[in-house]
Amino acid sequence: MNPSCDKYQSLLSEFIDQELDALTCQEMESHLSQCPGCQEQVKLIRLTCLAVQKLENPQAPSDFLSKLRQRIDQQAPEPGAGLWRSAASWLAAHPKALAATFSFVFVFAFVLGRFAPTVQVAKVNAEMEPAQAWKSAPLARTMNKVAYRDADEKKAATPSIPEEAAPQPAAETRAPSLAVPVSFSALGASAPAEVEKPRVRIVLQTPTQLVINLVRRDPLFQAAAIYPIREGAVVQTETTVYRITISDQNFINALRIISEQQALPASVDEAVKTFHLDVEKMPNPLK
Amino acid sequence: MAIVINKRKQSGESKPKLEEPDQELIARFLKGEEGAFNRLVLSYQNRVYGLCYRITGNLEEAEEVAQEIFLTVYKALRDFRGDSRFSTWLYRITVNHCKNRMKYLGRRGYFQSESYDQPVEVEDGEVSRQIRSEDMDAAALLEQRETQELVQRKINELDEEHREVILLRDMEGLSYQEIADILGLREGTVKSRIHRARLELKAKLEKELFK
Repeated sequence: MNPSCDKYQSLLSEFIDQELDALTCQEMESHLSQCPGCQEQVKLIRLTCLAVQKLENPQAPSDFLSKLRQRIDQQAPEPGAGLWRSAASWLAAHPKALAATFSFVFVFAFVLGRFAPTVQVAKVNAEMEPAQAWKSAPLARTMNKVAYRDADEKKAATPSIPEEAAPQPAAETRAPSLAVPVSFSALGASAPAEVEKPRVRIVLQTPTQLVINLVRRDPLFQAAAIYPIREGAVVQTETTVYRITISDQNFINALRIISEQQALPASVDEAVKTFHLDVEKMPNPLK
Repeated sequence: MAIVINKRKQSGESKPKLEEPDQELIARFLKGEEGAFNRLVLSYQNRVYGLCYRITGNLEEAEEVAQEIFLTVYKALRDFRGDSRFSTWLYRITVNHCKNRMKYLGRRGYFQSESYDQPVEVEDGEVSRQIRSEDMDAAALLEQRETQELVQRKINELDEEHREVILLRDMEGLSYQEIADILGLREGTVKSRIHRARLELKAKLEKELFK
C-alpha cells in the first residue's frame, strides 16, 4: 500500500456504488490498476455488500393485514370524533376561515347578549335602587333552586333503572316513558360520544327506541346495522335481515315490566319471550 | 471476479415503479376508503417486515414492530404532507420504531433468539466453508441459509447507526439521498457512515467468511 492509498481508501464505497464523478472515478481506476492492496479492499467490500444484498427476507405472515385491521378497529375513534378532527384540520389549513369563524362567534355572542332576557333583567335591576338590585341576586338563586327542585321531582317521576344493579327504591310509572341509566360499554362500536361517562341515561319513549336499545345490548348484533322504523327497527347482519317490531299494547306492557324489574333484557331472544317482540327474518339480499 | 451490485433488489413484492399509485391510494384512503389503506399495507408489508427483521434480528419482534408501524401510518397518514415520497416517509417511521424498540429491549436485557435463517449445526458453530475472494460461486454460497445466519449475526453486532445505513443501502437499495432524507442526515454524513459500516462488517466477516 503506498501513501496515496489513504486518499482512495475513503472513496472505495462511493466507487463501488458508482457515486464518484467521472474524473475521480478515472483516477481511482488508474490507481487500482497499480495497487493490489486497494484492489483486494474493493473485492472484500463488494463481497460484504453482496452478503447483505443476498439476505433473503422473510415474508410477512399471511394474517398480517387481518391482525392489523383488528388493532385498527379496536382503536377506532368514536363516531363524530373524525368529523371534529377533519373540521379542525380544515380550519387549521384555512386561517382566514378560522378568523372568520371567531369573528362570527363574537358577533353572534354580542348580538345574542344584547337581546338576551337575562341582560334585560340585569339592566332593569341596575336601574332599580342599588340595595334592591343587590338583593336580586339571592332572589335569582332561590328561583333557580325552585327550578332545580322541579326538575328533580320530574326526574323522580320517571322511573330510573340501574342496569343489572341492586334495585333502587321503587318508583311508580307515571308516564309511558322510561329513562334507564345504563353503561354504554355493552353497546358496541355504535356507542355515542359520551363513552367515558360510566352511566348514560337512555330514554325509552317509543317502540323504536326500545327495540334499538334492546338490539344494541345484544352481543349477537354488535356488528349489525340498525335502521329505525316506526314500530321498531330493521337490523341487518352480514347474513340476515331482521324486522323487529313491537305492538303498542306490548310496548306499554314492556315499559311496565321494565319498571318492575329495574332492568332491560340482555338479549333480543329474551325480549321476544318477555315483551312479545315480533321478529321477521330473511336472508340478507346484499350478501 | 465480477460482482455486479444490484441497485434495487427484489424483495418479495414488486416495488411500485411510480409514486402515483401510492398517492392515489392515500388520497382515496383520506376520502374514507379503507380498502385503499389495505392495498398500501399489502404492497409494503413485506419490505417493512423484512427490514424490521433485519434490524431487530427477531421474527416476533419484527411482526410486532411492523404492526405498530402500520398502525402509526394509519393514524398519521392525514399529516403526511407529500413533500417526500411515501416510501421515504414509511422508511423513516420504520427506522424510528425499530430504534425505539431496540432501546426498549436493550433496557430489558433482551437477547434475540429466534432466527428466520435457522441456525444450522455446523462444526465449531460456524459455517464450515469459507469464501475466498476468488471464489466464482461466492454468490451461491451467500445464498445458503447458514451463511445468511452468520451475516445476520454480524449485522446485529454492528452499531445501530451502521446497521441501519448498511441495510437501507445494500438490502433496500436506496440512494444516498433517500437515506439522508430518511435519517435526517446530510448526504456527506451518509456517504462516510455507509463506508465505515461496510468496513466494520467486512472486518467481522473477514475473520469467519472471507479468507
